[in-house]
Amino acid sequence: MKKKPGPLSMLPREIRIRLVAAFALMAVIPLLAGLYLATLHLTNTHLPAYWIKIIIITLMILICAGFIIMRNCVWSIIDIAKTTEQLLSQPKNQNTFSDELLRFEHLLLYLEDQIYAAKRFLNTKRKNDNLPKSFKLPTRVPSSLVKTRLLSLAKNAELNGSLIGVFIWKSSNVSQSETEDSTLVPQWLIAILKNSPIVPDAIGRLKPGYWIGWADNKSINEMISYIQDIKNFLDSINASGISVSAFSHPSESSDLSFLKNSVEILEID
Amino acid sequence: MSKSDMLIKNTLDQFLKNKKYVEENQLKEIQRVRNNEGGGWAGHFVDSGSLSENELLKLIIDETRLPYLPILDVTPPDNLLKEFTLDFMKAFECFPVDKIGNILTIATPNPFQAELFRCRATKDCMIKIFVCRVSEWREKIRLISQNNK
Repeated sequence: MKKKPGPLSMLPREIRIRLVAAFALMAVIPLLAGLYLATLHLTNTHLPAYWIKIIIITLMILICAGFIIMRNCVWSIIDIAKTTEQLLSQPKNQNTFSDELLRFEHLLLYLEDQIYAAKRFLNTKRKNDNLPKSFKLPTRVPSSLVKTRLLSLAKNAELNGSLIGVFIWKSSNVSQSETEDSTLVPQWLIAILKNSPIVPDAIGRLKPGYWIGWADNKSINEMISYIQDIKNFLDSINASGISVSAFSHPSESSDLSFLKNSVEILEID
Repeated sequence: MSKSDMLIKNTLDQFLKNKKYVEENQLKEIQRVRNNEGGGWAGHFVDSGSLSENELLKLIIDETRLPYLPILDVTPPDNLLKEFTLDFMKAFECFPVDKIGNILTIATPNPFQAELFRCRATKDCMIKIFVCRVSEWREKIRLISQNNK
């Protein structure tokens, strides 16, 4: 029966040679030298002390060299792109070279498969862990891009016949820090998001105290229920000056034409 | 300590902790989320709400004296984008901007990452780091992801 080739056979010839050399330097030669010294000791043939010192120092140097070669072997697999570049740049006999290339390609495919599998295991582990979820702010879209982004999403929803839930949050009490820092998510909005039954896909600031967010595939009923929940929450904390509205686009009469013009004309509540 | 040494030897969480910009319990929670979800520090810090993007940008610029680059206006060459995988850019919060000769320009919301200097595409290059906002970087990553699809 033909013997199944081992995984090492996939390695490029140079790496295999280096592996063998490292094995010889780190294991075979020290073992033979040790046997030699032991035999001398058993046969009562005493070598001068300086000879033993020379042998030990030479062995240590060889072991270090073996370690360096082994380390280079490992790195040539980790830095596989560089190894490929080097392999391709070396002039070689055409037949041997194409043979080597094919073997190398198999190695790359093998590694790719291993990496994908490892990533899959990692992701599955993370999904299955069911660790407590912490509050995270939704992705923030830079203010300058909010309108364009939302309009393009709305257009896509219209074309694909899907729904997009749009949320509008507005506060009449705008702090100075909020006015000065366009990336600061205000505390009132964080409180709403923390108690929100729907997590928006992204949010963005249209102007100080005026935020907009959206989420894919949200029906009218979900949006109505969202408004009710948030209004109940705002009532429970006696929040004043904060208003919330939400609609599902394009299924409702509300449309996003306000974004094309000025944001000022949008009436909330 | 040179600028690149400072960026390699520190991490963003250590920097913010040492400068007392983030509390110990907040940091632990952010660390837990990061361990569970992966990704870079800058995104997790701003997503936690403990710092705004502008605050983080200002802190980093004040500390490192690195310049800010508005990357929304930048279109990197296609061949440069091929040098970096999307997963790498997401995990290490970076965005390649340009490469002229041996000089590679990278924009990142978190320059405190040794990986930026050691990865395959950068380790043989002279790296010029620019700082950007997390949302701007995410927007560029989203566009690349969309184009790849």
